[in-house]
Amino acid sequence: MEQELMMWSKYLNCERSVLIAPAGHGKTTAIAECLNLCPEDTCHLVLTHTHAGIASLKKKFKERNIAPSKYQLETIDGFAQRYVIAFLGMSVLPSYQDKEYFSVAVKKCTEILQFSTVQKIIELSFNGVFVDEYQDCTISQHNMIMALAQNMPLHILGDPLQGIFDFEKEGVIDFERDLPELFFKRFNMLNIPWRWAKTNPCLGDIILTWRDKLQTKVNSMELTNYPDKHLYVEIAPEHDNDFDTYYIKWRNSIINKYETANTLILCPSYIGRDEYGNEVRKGDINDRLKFKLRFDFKHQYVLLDALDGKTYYDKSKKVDDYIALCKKSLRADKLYHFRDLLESLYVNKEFINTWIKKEKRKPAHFLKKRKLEEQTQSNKLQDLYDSYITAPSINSLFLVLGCVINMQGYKSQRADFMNDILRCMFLAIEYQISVTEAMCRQRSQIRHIGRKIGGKCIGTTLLTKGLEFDTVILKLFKLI
Amino acid sequence: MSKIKGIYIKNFRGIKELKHFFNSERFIVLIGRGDSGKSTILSAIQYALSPSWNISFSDLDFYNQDTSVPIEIMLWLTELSSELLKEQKFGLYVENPLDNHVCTEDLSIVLKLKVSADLEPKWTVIPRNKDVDEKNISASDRALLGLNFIGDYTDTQFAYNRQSPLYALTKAFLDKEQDIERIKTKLLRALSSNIDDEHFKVLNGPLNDLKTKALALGLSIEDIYANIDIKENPYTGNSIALHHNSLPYRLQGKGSKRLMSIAIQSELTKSGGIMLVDEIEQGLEPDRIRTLVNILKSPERGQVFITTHNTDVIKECLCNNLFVVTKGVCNLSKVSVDLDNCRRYIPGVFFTPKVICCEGDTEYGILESIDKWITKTQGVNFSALGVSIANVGGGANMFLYSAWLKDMGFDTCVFADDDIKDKDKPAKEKCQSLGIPLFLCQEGYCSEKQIFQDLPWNAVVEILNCPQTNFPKSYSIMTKELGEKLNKKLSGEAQLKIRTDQAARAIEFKWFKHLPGGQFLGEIIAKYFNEMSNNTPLKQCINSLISWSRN
Repeated sequence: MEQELMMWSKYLNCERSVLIAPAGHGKTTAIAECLNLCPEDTCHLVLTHTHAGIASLKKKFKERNIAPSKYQLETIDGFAQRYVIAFLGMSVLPSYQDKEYFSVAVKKCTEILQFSTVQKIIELSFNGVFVDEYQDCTISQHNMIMALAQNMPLHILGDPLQGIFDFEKEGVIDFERDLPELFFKRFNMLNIPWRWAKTNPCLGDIILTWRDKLQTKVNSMELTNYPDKHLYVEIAPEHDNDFDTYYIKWRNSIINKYETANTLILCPSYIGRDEYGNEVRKGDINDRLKFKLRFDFKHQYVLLDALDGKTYYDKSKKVDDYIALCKKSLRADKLYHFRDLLESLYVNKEFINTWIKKEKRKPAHFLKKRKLEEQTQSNKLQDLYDSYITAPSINSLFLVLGCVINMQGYKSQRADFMNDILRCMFLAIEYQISVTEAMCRQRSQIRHIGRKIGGKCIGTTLLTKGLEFDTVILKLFKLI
Repeated sequence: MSKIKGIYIKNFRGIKELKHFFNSERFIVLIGRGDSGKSTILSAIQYALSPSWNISFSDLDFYNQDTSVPIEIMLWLTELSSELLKEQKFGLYVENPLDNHVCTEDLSIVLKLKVSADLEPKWTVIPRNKDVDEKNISASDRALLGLNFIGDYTDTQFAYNRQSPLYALTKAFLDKEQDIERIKTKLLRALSSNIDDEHFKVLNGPLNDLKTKALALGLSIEDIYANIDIKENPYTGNSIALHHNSLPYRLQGKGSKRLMSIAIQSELTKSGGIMLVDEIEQGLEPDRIRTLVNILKSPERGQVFITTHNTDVIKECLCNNLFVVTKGVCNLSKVSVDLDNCRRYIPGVFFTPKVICCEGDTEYGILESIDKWITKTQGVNFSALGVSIANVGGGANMFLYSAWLKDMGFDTCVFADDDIKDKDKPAKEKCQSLGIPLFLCQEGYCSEKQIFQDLPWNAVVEILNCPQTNFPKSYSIMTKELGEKLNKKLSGEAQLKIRTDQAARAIEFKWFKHLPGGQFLGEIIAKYFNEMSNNTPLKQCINSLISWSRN
């Protein structure tokens, strides 16, 4: 124990230190231990890449009773965004929806970190910087961190073998090249797989052997089934005809076999090729939605999306556009567009069809209902819809959608998404802004607070490390 | 700790809008006529920096009681404590441009106090750009700005209650284990049986330094100590108070109390901070005022704001310390170095909105008598009209000073004769171009010549019979020959000759070139004013001077 403390204080007192350790070997704990060693009136900036990372660090710090005044926890992108907006304003950044938003933020932030005005404030605010998951840094994030920590100690943690962002277009850092050992002292002492020690020590051992193999740069590696160690490998049997149908059936049976109340299904994201042979990114939110539609008939799974996923902005803009359309155009078939809107908000088609009818060459209309209970529901929806049409506003549309989600048979592929949209509409009403603006605000708020996930989810390694779950089902695909 | 770089006040009490930047000035003396807004400025600073979590505002605090426009007070603050400059606090709100040559001292923020119609004060720090929301600044963060207000007092400031600066001073001196509250309780318990000096010893610790400080401020005290003030309620902190010669300090004179209070505050703010003193001269003798100003004049850190109506204060500080507040004007005027002599010798001019710059003792004396005369006949006087008379000396001085004062925002005019030399003409022309009214004699005339020419004959005779009361020396004005002439009945032509000749003598022998002389001439002018023909230059000049004063 004492030896360990010595280690941490050496690591902490080194101006430029790099701690290399594989997953589950206590990097998060290492940061917590270091913070524990720091005096009461100090504050360290702790940066990581994902909100999942923030959540797990936060949890660890709480467990260790570390005073919140001793650290400031943020994503690298969030930090960059905050500084750029504070010092330069939003005008220097592209719109939120833009793909380049954060890479521009990081570059601009690197620029302003060069000014002594900004450096003074950094020096007054922090005694040092920790960066977790350094292997996921892009070159420009790396440059920003170097600029940030030019006058203070920098402690890096990471595992060069663990990069999850390596399909990004921009170059990812290389420990050997970008963190030369001459300047960045290596610390290599996490030999015990702490994460698995309590729950599944054997799994930790297996992962270590895999890691060793990977480090020797082998080309291929056999995954072995260890049922006694709760590591199961299932391979789809060969099937001659109609492989797709067969495969889906088989896959769903596997999910049913292993799923528990707290399950994460990890989908791969990779660069694939489309029918014309162009490179395309596979495994995005739409691919995952397709995957979900094929097995989650009970609508139990939550689809995890990137906090700044494009869909959030696209769909909230759709809501704004729909209201604008209803205000402007007298002739448009507004109910027809309303159907479209519901569909794009991931409302189940079946549900839509039971209430609103769309026919060829005829305007859409509400279906007549026979049962009394259904009649009252339909009438209520029609009343609210009519008052929306007479005075289109976020407020009146909010009431219509609020009615929809409480109706009989309502189902959504992404129930959480509809909730997000409704919450933003509520915000928009309160602050008298557009839904898109409200979404931007809400997203940046979550970015600060972090989000908690659990239950049954579908995600990618980008969105969660999976440590919050009891069971993780890893969907792999065969490399051809 | 902090320092105010600039101030903006809107819709607060008598101030509709006011903005001023003090730059690096550390000692700021606000001067100006009563009701011009000096104390309002101090109150604005006090409220904006107040460490209280709430202040009760009323409709009367709004300009014209119009609550539809919010009160806004903004302060540009620098020399901030590093705690406030952390990014977790207001580091990202500094208003400095992005550059490479700043030191921590220079980093500054803009603090805003806003009170809307709901009367709830809201303290925020203004962001660098509109994309970021204003950030609230808490009472405890405002306490880090280090404000001390010395104004109207309650005597409890010399007691050991939690709000008193004495409490704060003692607390900073004591160790963590020694708690004033506990000592107070012990003392009060002991009070019921017998008084134990042991406990008081602890409280008396910091008082030695205080004594030294007080002495420097001109307050000599043999012995001060904490003791039980028998008059106060024994269950509040007020019952234990500062004593001097076995009397509670609250029973000392006003001036001594003020000095003691300033001594306590400056002990407390050695490390910087902002001290506000309203009407610094209250209860103090001229010599004590001068000592006090001299000490406050050069604070090593922090900043001192005072208001004053006292000319001694003005004499003691430098031009760059002075800021003139004028009612309804949206910035403060600085006193230019050119006016340094004016500050030193006639500081009174800075207190009136209107200034008559007169050429010399004669003119000054004349105006004094005119002042008395209009008080009697018209029921007003220059002071009530906000007019001061400045004797700035001859040559081009009266023109130069009136131009400089005009530049500062004063309404000025010149009262002089018109026998100026060629080299002084540009100054006169400048005045004319600035639109400054010039109340002068006929071109080329000096005052005596004008008076002898324009007054009725009886008045001239009376002048020549001058009793020379209070004159610095006696002149032989009335010669035997002249007396004989005056006794005769004289033709108009002869009278004219006497007027011309005697005026020439008066100028040559400087009969009236002093204050009593001027006063005498003024009295005569006043006495014969109505008899004077309306188209005489003298009558016209004085009439227009009075009507300028009245407008």
